[in-house]
Amino acid sequence: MEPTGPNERAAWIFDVQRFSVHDGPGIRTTVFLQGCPLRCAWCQNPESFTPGRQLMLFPEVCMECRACSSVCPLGGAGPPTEGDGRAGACTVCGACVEVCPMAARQMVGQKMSGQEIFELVMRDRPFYGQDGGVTFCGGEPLLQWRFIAPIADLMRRQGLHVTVDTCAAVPQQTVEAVPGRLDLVLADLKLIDSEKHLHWTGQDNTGILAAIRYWDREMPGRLWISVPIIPGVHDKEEIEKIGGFLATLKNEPVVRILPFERFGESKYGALGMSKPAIVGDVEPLVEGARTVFLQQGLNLMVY
Amino acid sequence: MEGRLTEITSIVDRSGSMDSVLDEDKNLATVEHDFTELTKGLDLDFRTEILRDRVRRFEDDADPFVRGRIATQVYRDLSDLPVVLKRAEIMARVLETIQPVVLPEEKILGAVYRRRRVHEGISDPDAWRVRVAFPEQHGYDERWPLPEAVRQELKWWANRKTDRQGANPLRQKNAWLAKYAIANPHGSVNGHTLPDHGILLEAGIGELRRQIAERLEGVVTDPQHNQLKAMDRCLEGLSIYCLRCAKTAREQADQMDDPALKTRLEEAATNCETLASDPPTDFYGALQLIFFSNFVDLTDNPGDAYSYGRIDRLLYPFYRSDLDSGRLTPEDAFELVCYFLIKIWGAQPSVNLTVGGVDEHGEDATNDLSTLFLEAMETTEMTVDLSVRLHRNTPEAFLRTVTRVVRKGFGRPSLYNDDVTVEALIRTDIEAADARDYAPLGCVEVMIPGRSAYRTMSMGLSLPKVLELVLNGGRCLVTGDRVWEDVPEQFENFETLLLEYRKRVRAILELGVEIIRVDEKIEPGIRPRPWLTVLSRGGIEDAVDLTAGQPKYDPVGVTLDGVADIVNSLYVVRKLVFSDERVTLDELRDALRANWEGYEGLRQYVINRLPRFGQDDPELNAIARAETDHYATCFEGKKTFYGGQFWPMIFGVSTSLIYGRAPKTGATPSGRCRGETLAMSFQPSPAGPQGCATAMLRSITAIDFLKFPGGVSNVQEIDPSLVQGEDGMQRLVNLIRGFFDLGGMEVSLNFLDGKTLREAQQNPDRHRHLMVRLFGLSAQFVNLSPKVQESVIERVESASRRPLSGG
Ligand code: SF4
Ligand code: SF4
Repeated sequence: MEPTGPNERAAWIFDVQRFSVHDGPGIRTTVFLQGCPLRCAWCQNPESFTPGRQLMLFPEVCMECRACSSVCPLGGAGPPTEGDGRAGACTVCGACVEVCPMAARQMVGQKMSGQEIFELVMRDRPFYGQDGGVTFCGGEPLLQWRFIAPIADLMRRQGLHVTVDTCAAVPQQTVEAVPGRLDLVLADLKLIDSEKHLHWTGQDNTGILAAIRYWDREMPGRLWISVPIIPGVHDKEEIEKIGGFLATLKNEPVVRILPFERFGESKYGALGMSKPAIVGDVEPLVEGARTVFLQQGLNLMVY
Repeated sequence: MEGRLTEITSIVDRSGSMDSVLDEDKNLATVEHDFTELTKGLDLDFRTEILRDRVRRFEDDADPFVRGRIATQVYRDLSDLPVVLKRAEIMARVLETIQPVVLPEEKILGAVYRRRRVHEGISDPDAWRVRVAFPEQHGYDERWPLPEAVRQELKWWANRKTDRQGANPLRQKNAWLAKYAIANPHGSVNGHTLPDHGILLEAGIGELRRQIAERLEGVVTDPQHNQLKAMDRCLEGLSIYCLRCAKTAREQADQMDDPALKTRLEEAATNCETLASDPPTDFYGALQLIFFSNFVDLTDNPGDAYSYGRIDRLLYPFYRSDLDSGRLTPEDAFELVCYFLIKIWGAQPSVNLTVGGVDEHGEDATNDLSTLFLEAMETTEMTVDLSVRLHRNTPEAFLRTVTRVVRKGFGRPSLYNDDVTVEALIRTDIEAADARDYAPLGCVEVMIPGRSAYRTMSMGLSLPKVLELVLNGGRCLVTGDRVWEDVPEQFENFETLLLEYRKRVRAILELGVEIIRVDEKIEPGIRPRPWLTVLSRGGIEDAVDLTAGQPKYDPVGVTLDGVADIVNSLYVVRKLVFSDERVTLDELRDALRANWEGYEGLRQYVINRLPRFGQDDPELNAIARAETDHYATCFEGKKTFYGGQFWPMIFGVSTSLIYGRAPKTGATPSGRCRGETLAMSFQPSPAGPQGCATAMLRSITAIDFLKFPGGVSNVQEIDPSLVQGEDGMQRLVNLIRGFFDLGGMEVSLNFLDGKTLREAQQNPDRHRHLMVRLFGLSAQFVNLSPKVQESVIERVESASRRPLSGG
């Protein structure tokens, strides 16, 4: 697959968060791109799956004013408290979003040009200091490498620290291009057992492990590994395997544990999707992972 | 113990060796000692624990009646005395009468007014304490909880005019300004003071009295004679007070069994005896005298804000010479400063101490004491109103110390940007060397110690109220009164509306300026300030009162209350009515007149769907810039009565609940209902989504602070989880640096969560230490009135509400 975005001069963005503090060092702006090759069962950003506009509905704040009903060209919009709330053949025209006083209807996904992203990110230039900057996140930002790379160059020339938060399931060409063009890579390592990986994310992990090894070799000190810990997905054995793999990496990347969070669950409902069936207590698993990783001598980052 | 000794020795060694290589000038501008290390090894005297406890229970609080009775006696029995002598007589008699107050655990002696309220109404139960002390201003009130003897005496005021009533006919004629909560112009020194305590530290009481005696010889006019006599009487009173404190300490020493406490009391006594006539000879003496000097100010100051000025600079010579002579170790100094901070702590202090900043040449002037005061505040947890001046060459290590203390979450210190403030002052008529010596007084008001009068906080303009009147044909939405007859009912476009609004703003400010000038003019006849004149440069020579144009500069700081509500409102009117034509002006007015009732959809649309100030939206930023510029421009070319300039400020204290402004302001186009809080200074409107910290700070810096030399108050809430750990510390440093690089002028940070505050409401006893930052001052949370507590919680909680999606 060619590493190309839907449009090389613009990309589908679903959020830009300023004063971001968990996506790399310092104060950062995180740019969230849509589109992802994986479908992790626990994903907290379902609006990132496919590029494009998507209508999100939040019944909790709806005041049942029916302003939406009166403007929907298909006549199907209505209070999400009384049913789905969107027209059956909804064209995501946005008319209902425009009039909704409560922001109970929101349109997510907008095309932004590289220039627009650059300007927005540069608003916080004075706060980045030496270590802060921008993180491209997603979705899978590296799917749109041709879009990101020139913006990253421009930002780095301005002294920004540029990072990408990736699932590492990206074409080899892109993997190889990254070390020379970015300051830091935050790569996910979800599972070592390839079959499990296929089962839970929709792809096996051969390419992912290769990419991580490559980056470890080619960008020492500039690789952070994020390990999501999900109840019902990870067990002690799997955690030990992950630790074992990480221990074989030569340049001791920073390792972060990302415990499963439920903060994104309401978004599934808002998009009309069913929410992931993740049950169980994450804390004991996280505790276990911490112990294992420390025992294995990993460079664990503790919050 | 041994470890501790080695540490001290090594520090002394270090300072000794530095002496030999550094010349004096350089010594003045460095932080030599690492107090972080020093305080780590320090097992602070157990007594400070006891002491902290005792002061939090107000055990050494001075009797609030003493001054009230004395003022009554002086005004009653000495009614023919010229007013300046009356004032001096009251001060002196207070000092001759009030309990010396010596807690055996302490090192700095003297009475305190810990329970004084800075702004009335913030903490209702104690408001009477200030009033009863100043009956000549507040008269007599049946409801005061007074002992019978005191009541009988104070009743004398019952049917008498206080010295303020009727004094300014122009204010009375324009009572509508306050009645409709439009503005509150006043032009008196009004409790905010920033004397040059260095005058007393350098000369001592005896020498100043000698200078006055000498100056008296050439005097022929009565006013000058009275002025000098009054100034001398204050000094005499203070001298007597020094001796009375000494005597009490000696008596206690005699009774004391504990040999350590006995020695301590004896040293304190000797210290005070010396100060009764001579300048301090060491650091300890300097701390004691500057405390006394501030206390004298308090006896004449109806309860607002009395500031120490640049305390690290004032005390440095004493500290330096003690170190050089080996009399004092940095550790001793640290301990003394801890005692000092415990001494001056109050439930709601507005006693500003400033550290850091540049010297008169613009070079960094941060020294050991700058760090030491910060460390002492951190160690004692006595949150005094510490202010830190920063500039582009502030040493990184000092900035990190500051940031660490900021992150402790006391709401203090507040941070000032010299690069902007000094430049703003120079753009008025202030000489560069003086501008570089500015200090905050009270909360965040800017003045020049000993070279300016202290007229500040003098306008209180509420722009949302002006817009209300303009939108409604001159009618007040709350009372229905028609305040202005000649406001058009319709506007062709937004520009004509804006022009009308600005015209009204200008007219109000012009009227306000005239009212202020009358206040200034009459002030010396009502409330001259002989003590402040002693501490004003050239005061003795001039023999003219500080309030009568004596100081080198005579500015008046004029405040604009808040930015968010007016910016949001103007934007909403332009967008809804004129650009999008979503509603007509009449429809919007109907909604406002109905207090949004029946228009909830529209109100919610405004709140949830339109950008708001603080989200770094370019259009809102532009409005903020334009309207604050316009405010500042209205004062151009205007002179204060004594020939100074008006210094624009942005500082909302009187907004919100405190002076009852919110209920007097009708529904605003920004979606606010009548009675709801008006956002003060740069706070975002409480309702609706808000910008994150960086967006907020960028929005604020859309304003040109070089036009606001009088100071601004900028309290920001930060989610503590975002600045945890070593990384978080660096982020906070970057946030502060970034804000100042962008031209920010001042910032204070709160790291609170609503849960803690609610808990404190339930269990006040367990949360006595909890200090929160209000508009400009920090206050003991549990002592605030319930109403104000709620508004703090509302603010903190709304700060954690962020928009779902930023893209
Ligand atoms: S417009 Fe919004 S608030 Fe009104 S009914 Fe539709 S979804 Fe609910
Ligand atoms: S987006 Fe357009 S088509 Fe879809 S529900 Fe809203 S108004 Fe109807």
